Amino acid sequence: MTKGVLKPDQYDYETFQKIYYADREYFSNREFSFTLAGDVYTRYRSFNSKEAFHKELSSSNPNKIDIGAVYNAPPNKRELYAKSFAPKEKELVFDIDMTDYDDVRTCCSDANICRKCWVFMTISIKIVNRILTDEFGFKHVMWVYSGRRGIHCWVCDVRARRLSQEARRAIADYITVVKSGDKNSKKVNLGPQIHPSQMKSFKDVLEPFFTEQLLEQQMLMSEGNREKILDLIQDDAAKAAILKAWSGRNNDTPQQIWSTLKQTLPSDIRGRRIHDIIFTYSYPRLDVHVSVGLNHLLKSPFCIHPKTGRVCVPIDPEKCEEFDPTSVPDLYTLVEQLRDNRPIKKKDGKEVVPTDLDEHVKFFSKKFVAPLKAAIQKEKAPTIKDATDF
Amino acid sequence: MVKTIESKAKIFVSDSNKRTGKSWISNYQIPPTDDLSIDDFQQWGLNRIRVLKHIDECRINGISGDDLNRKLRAMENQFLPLTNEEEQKRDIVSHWTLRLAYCRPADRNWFVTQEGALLKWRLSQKDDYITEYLSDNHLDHHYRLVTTQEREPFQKNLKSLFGEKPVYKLPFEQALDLLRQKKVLLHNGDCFVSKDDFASILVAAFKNDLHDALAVFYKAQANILNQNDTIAPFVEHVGTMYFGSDYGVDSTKRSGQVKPADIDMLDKRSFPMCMHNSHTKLRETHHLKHAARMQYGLFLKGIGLSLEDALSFWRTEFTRVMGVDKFDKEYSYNIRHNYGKEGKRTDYTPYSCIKIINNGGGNDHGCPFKNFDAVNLRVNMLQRGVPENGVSEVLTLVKDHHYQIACRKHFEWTHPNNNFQELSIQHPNQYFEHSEKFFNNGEQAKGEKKTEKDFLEENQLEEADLIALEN
Ligand code: SF4
Ligand SMILES: [Zn+2]
Repeated sequence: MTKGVLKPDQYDYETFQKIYYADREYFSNREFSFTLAGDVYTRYRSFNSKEAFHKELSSSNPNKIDIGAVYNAPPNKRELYAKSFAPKEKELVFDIDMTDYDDVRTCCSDANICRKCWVFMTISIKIVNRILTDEFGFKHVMWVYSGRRGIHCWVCDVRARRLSQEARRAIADYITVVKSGDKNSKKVNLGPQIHPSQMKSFKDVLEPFFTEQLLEQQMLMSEGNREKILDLIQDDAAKAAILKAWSGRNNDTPQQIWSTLKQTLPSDIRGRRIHDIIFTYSYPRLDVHVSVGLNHLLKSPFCIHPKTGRVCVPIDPEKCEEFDPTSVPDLYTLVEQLRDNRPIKKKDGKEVVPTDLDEHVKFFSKKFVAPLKAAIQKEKAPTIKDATDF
Repeated sequence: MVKTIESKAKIFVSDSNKRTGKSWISNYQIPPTDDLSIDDFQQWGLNRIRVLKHIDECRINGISGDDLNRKLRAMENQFLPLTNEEEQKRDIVSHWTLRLAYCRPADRNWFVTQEGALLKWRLSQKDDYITEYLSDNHLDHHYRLVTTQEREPFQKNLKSLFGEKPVYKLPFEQALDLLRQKKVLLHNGDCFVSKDDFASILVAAFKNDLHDALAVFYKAQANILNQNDTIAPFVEHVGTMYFGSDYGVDSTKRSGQVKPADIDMLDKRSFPMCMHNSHTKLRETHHLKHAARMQYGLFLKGIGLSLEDALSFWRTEFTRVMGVDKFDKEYSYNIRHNYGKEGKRTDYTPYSCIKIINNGGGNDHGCPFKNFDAVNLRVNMLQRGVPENGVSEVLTLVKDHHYQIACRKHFEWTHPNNNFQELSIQHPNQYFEHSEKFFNNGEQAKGEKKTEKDFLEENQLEEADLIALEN
């Protein structure tokens, strides 16, 4: 078995091709980067045909593939176009990484994750997905596990692919509430009046998840952690009152401690402070730069994460609560399955070896690629132009 | 056959140009097709420039709210009324005339800014102007007022964001600034925005389009002008014509405000490069040649040096190299003449930048940005505290012959954090006034409230402007 990606001839190649759209010109002007053995990062690769892509993939056998923008010319010939070479279209992407939560995460640190802190990602998917689909009207939104401690989101609607850099920034800013300041002081900025979109996120997702699951993060259990929360209250009298109400009740559950805090807050600032705390502790934290740059690249779905060996599988936003990053298929299991499982005959007579990856590929083609293809075909259908006046 | 198509095409064009609503406000998408006399063409263009320049001045002086409204209304009534079809035609023609005149890259921003401000002000004049503007200019396919019925499902959220104000709906891509600031309600790719914000969006879209159109126009401009030598001189001239105050009319009001002893200090902080140069030469050589005495002397008169003080100022300096008699005999006449006390007794006015630049110059007069070589300019600017990067910025402009813009940049670098962003330097006395305003924290600005009447009188077309056109 080769190092990073599954050997292409052992792989459902058709699916791989679908990832990059069937459109030829679109494909040949698309930038790919391959990370080769020894962390050699090679940008501006592009391919004329799926055969060429296939061939290069087999021969250079990259550890990682990143997908970039579609340019106005083939990226591998960019020198010919000199200054006029520029990105034209790209999926709207989002990157959310657990490291941005290190100041509120107590169960793990650094590259480690567990189901407890994965709740932050679940919350993010729920909120960002709703905003993208209901508010922005996007229909082709794909969520992918990054293979280690984060998630990626690809919005593939034509409208999204054609957004200017400025529009991408505006969208990211619209969604953002927590400004990443220096590592340990993330500031939430809700503005003078909480926006209806945020209010909805709060009621539907943040508040229930916070009280039911995030309080498990022990943020109210140690003195140091309590201090951090009290800092958000910014009112010395209220702080003192809360400390007093908490004292001597050492057997309280996190939920009880939380409701003591809520009840002790003076009513005129209660709503606002609760918002501040919950938003600070649970609202999605986007890496805005990744979303804004048209020439930014993002790891291709179905890559193998070089450090964990896990496959970057898609996540169904409808069922994201069920997603468990620690049990996604990894390279070693897949290699074993390919070796040990008995091949089965498909309807078309082809023999394939079943693996744990199958359900993910199926989800990807059925729930994401098929509707996207249909939409692209519809868009390409000739439209009847208005007859001219005279 | 051909003829039919042509005539129909023409009908089509004029149909779109004809606005049915009562706002008469155009977005100037379609150039006018009517035949015009060259006089109308020039006169309307000039009138529009007056209005635009006035808008600019108001902004620079921080006039807003009711004051601005009153001033602009008076200005519009006189120079650019918009209450019927004929006036609308003038509005459209004059806009297109100025496109021709202001499409050069260096002039574009200024023109687009002022036209945007004019549109914004006009749209704010009546509640239903926005709707009329949309339908008159066939923009109602893109943007729409949200009906009560349509509001229904979003009422609660709309109310929390905008109260009961009217709300417009448009694709989110066209409201990026508002989106970024979360000042919209989003639904399915469209956003709802408040009426006030919507007006800003319309203006921004208009400015964007105008910018692009000017760039295209610029390429075509040479052709248009080649084919039409009656309008070429006007168009080439009009963008650089000086319409501001002539800084001489009310010299009595200002006279005596500046004393000879103040001049060195004022020179240091507020003289434009041209006058700084003359002043420096005068202090060094105790003499200036005639052209320089005119240019500098009239400037000093403009900033408020009285005749008596002027005589003593020049006498003190000159008599260090000549006898008092010689001075009185040969030079005092000239100074009294500048103040209208000799000869034709005309009260001469200080020179504008255009005049100074076009007059040529020597080492003691003219516009240094035009006359000095790069080394000399550089030394001068460094001495006046402009940092290296500022100097190179100015020198690039000079290389492209943008002297007045270079002068403005110089102003910006020597007046840190000023808020005259789009100040365009037209007159050394204007430079001086703005600079003083800056250093006095705007106190003077407050004391200078002019009545509407004063203001209209000041802005009457002067014979001189028309003469300038004929040459
Ligand atoms: S641009 Fe005008 S004010 Fe500036 S130096 Fe030249 S002439 Fe003087
Ligand atoms: Zn954890």
